[in-house]
Amino acid sequence: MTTQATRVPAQRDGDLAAEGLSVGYRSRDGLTQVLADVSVRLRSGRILGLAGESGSGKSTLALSMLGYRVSGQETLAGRIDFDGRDLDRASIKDLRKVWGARLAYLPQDTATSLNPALTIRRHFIEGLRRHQGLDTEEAVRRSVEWLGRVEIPEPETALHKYPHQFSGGQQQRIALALALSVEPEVLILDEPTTGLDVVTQAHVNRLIVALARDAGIAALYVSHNLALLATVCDELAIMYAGQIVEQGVAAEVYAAPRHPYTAALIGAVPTIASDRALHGIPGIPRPSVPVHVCGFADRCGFRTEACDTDIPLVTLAEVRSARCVRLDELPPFDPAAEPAPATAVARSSATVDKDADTILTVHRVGVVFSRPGSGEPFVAVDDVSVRVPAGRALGIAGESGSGKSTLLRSIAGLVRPATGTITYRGKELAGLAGDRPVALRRSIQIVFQNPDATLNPRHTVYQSLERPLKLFRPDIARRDRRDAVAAMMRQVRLSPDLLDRFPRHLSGGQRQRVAIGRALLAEPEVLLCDEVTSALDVSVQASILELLVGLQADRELTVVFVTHDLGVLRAVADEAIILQNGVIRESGPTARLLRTPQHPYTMELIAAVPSPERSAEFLGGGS
Amino acid sequence: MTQTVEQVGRPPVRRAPRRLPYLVRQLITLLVTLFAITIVIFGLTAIAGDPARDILGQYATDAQVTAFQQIHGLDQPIVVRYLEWLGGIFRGDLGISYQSNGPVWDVISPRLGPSIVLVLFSWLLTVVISVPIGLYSGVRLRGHRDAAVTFVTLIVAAFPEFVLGLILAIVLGVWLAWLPVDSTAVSMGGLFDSPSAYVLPGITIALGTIPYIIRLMRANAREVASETYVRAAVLRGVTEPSLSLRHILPNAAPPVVTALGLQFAGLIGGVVVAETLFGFPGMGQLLAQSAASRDAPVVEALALMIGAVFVVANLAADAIVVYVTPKLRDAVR
Ligand SMILES: Nc1ncnc2c1ncn2[C@@H]1O[C@H](COP(=O)(O)OP(=O)(O)OP(=O)(O)O)[C@@H](O)[C@H]1O
Ligand code: SF4
Ligand SMILES: [Mg+2]
Repeated sequence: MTTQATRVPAQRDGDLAAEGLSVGYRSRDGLTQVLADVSVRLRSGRILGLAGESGSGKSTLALSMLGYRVSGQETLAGRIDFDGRDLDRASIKDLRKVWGARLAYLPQDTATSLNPALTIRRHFIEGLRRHQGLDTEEAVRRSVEWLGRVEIPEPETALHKYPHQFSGGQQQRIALALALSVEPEVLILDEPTTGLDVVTQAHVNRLIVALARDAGIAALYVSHNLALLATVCDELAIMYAGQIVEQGVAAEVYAAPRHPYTAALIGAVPTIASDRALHGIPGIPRPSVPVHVCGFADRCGFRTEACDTDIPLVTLAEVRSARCVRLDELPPFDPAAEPAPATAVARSSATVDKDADTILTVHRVGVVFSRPGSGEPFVAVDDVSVRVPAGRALGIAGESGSGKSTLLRSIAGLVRPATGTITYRGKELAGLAGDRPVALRRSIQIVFQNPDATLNPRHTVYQSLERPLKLFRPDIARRDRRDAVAAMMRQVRLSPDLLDRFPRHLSGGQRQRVAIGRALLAEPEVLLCDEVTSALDVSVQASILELLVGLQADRELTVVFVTHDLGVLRAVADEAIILQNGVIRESGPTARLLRTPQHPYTMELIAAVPSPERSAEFLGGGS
Repeated sequence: MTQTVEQVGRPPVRRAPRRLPYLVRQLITLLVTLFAITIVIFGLTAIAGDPARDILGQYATDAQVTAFQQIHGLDQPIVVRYLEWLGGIFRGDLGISYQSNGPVWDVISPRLGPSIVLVLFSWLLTVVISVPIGLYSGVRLRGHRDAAVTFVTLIVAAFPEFVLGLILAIVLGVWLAWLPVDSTAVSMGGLFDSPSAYVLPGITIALGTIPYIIRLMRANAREVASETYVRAAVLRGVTEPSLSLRHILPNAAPPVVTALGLQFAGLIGGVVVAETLFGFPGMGQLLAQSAASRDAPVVEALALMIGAVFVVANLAADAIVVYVTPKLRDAVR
C-alpha cells in the first residue's frame, strides 16, 4: 500500500518467542494457572493469529510476551525469548528500553487505549522523542506522516485534537499509527478491531496487514474471530483453557482442522457462503488449565479413557501440531457433518411458505431525533416499509448508525415514529408501547444485545422469569408458575437448578438465554431480537442461534432479528433487508441476497466480511 | 433522502431548547443560590427570637426595650425587615451592630484581611500536601507502605480540629516553643507583620481536610492507573514522572478539584475553631463571639459572606473541572 522509504533494514533477529510458558494469577484463594506450556514464535514479516474463547488466556499471553506482568501474575515456567534475552526476567529498566521502541502493543478495546486528557500530538511526540531521539519538530513531522498513512483526514489539524473527537474506527487507526510510528520490530495486537463496525473493521484490518508486512514486523494478532484470523494471518494458533491445542498455517488449519476443538469452533462460525448449519459447542470452557486430562475432554464427543492423561502437543508437519491423543483415529473434518454430540439445528429453507399471512406491516415509517446541542433534526429511519410474514424470520442488517435498532425499537413501541404506521394483524399500533393494550404488548416481545440491561441484578432468575407471567398470563395459576418457569428453562436449555441464582452467577450466554426465556414466557407471536449474540463468544453465539432457530420452527414464532453480522443473518433469517442511513437499500430472501447482491452497499458489506477462502481479495480490496 | 419523509409530511420536530453559554448559566446559578442563602440566614436569626432582652440585660426597663426595638427596626413585620436588610446589602449597608452600635462593616472589616490570608494559607497547605502524597501513594505504593498512609490519614481524620489544635499548640508552641500559641499579634501592625502567628491555626485548619483529600486523590489515582490507556502508555515506554504527572494526574484530578471547592466549607468550620483556640483576630472568632452575644446583624453579615465564598468556590471548582477535561469542555460549548 505505502512503501516506506525511511526504514533502514537493520539486521533484525527481532523474533519474539514464548518457550514453554506457564503463567498463573495469585489471589486470596491461591494460585490459578491460566497458561500451560505455551510455545509460540513470532517471525519477522509474518502474522501469527491467536484464537480462543473468552477466558482462554489470550490476553494473558499477549501481555506476557511483552514481559509485562499485571499485579498478582506469576510466571511458573518457561521464558520469553527476544534476541537471546529472557524478557520475563529482564529488569524494568531494560524493559522500558524495548517497550514502545522495539515492541509495540495495541490493547484490547481501543476506545480506551488513548488518554482522554492528552492531545494526539502529545501521544506521538513522547515516544518519538524518547525512542527515536527526534526533536519536537521532526517528531511532529513524522506523526503527520503516520496519521496520513492510516488515512486520518487533515493530519495537521488532527494532531491538536483529543481522542474523543474521533470516531471509534479513527481512534483505532490513530492507535495503530502510534504503535507503528516508532518502527517496532514486534507488534502485539489484542482484539484490535473488536467492537468496530464491519466495514471499518475490514478497513483497519487491511491497514494492519499492509503496514505490518511492509515494515517486516513480527506480529501477534489476538482475536476470538476465527474466520477473521484465518483471513488475515499467516499462521494460526488455537488456544483452549490456557493451552495451545492446534497450530499451523492459517489456511490449512481453517480448511482442515485436526483437533476436535478447532473443528467445533469452525463449525460455530457463521458464514455467508453456504447453508451449513451452525453448531454450538455444548458445555462451557473450563476455568483453569487441565491437569492429567485433556482440557477439552468435558465437551469433546470423541473422549475415551485414553484422554485422561496429560496430552502432549504432537508435531504433525513442519508448522503443524495438535494436542490430542486420538488424532489418527478421528474422521477427517467435514464442515457439514453433525458434531459428535448432536445438538445442531439447521435452518431449513424448505419450510418457507410462500403465502404466509402478514403479521406485521411497517408502512412508510420515519423516526427523527433532535440532536442534542444543535437543533438539527436527525433522520434515523427514513420512510421504511416492510411486510413481515407470520411464522418467519426477518433479518435487518447494516452498519452501526444505519437505523436498524431504531426501526426495531419503533416496532416494539420504545420510540415513537414521526411518520408512518405499524400494523399488527391489520390493527394499527399506537406509537408507544405504554399506549398499546396489554394483549398487544404481550404479543410483541423484545430481547436486547446486553442481557444485563434487562435482568434486574437484584432479582433471582426465577423472579425475573416470573414477571411476564404476572403481567401477561393470568391464565396460569400462581402455584403453577414455578412449573411453567422451569419448563421454559429447559426449553432455553438451562438447568432449572439455576432458578435461584442471581444474574451475576451466570455466564453471558446463560444470561442471554434467561432474557430470551423471559420474553418467550409472555407467549409472544413476534419476537424482536436486537443484536442478541454480538456480545457473546462464537461458540455461545452458535448455541443461542441454534436455540432461536429451533424455537422459531417449533412455536411458529415470528422473529425480527437485527444484526451487523451477515453470517448471523444467513443463519437465522429467511428474508432480509439491508439498511443504510435509515433507508432500505436492498431486500429479499437472505440466501439470494448474499449470493447475488444488487446494491453496491450490500456488495460493500459482503466484501467486508472476512473470508479465508477469499483472503487475497479481502486484504486487497477497499483501498 | 430527506425529501421522502418530507412528502409523507413529517410533523414539526421539537427542537432542543437553545442553551445559554456555560458562564452565563453558572452566573445565574450563583445568584439564585445566594438569594436562597439570604432567606435561610435571615429566617434562622428571626426564629432565634427577639434579642432585646438578652442584650439589654434583665434589669432594663420596658421603655428601654421598646427603644432598642425601634432603633433596630425589630417592631416591623419580618418580611419588611428582610426586604430592608436585603436592600441594605445592595447599597453596601450591612446594618448596625447591637453590641458596638456602629455599622456592622466597621466591626467586620479589620478582621477580613487576616481571615482571608489564613484560609488561603491553609487551603494551599492542603493542596501542596495532599495532592502529591495522594498521587504517589495511589500510583506507586502497595502493601504495607500503602496501608501505613491510609492508617495515618484515618488517625488524623478521627481527631476533632480543636484536639489537633491543642496537640499542635502543646508540641510546637509549648514544648519546642517554635511558634507563638497566641495569634493576637495579627491584629497589630500590618497584615504580614507577624507571619508566625498564622502557622499554628493554618496547620490546624488544613489538618481537618488533608486526610480526606489525600484519600480521595489516592483512590482516584489508583483507579486511573489501572486504566487501559495508562497500561498502554507504560508499554510505549513512558516513565515516571511523566506517567504520573501527564498521564494519570489530569484524569484523576477532577473529583479532587470539586472536593477542594467543597472543602472551603470545611475550612471555614475549621476557621471558627482554630481562630477561637489561638485567639486569632479573624472572622471566625468574631462569628463565635457575635453568636454568643446574640449580635444578629453581625452574624447575618458573616454568614452571608461565608455562604458567598462557599458558592463561588464550588462554581469555580466546577468551571476548573470543565476546563481541564477536554470532553466536558467540548460538551459545554
Ligand atoms: N488480573 C487477573 N487476576 C486474576 N485472574 C485473571 C486476571 N486477568 C485474567 N484472569 C483470568 O485468567 C484467565 C485468562 O484471561 P484472559 O484475559 O487472558 O483471557 P482472554 O482469552 O483474553 O479472554 P477475552 O476473550 O475475554 O479477552 C481467565 O480465567 C481470567 O478470569
Ligand atoms: S484428547 Fe480426547 S478429549 Fe481431548 S480432544 Fe482429543 S479426543 Fe477429545
Ligand atoms: Mg482478552
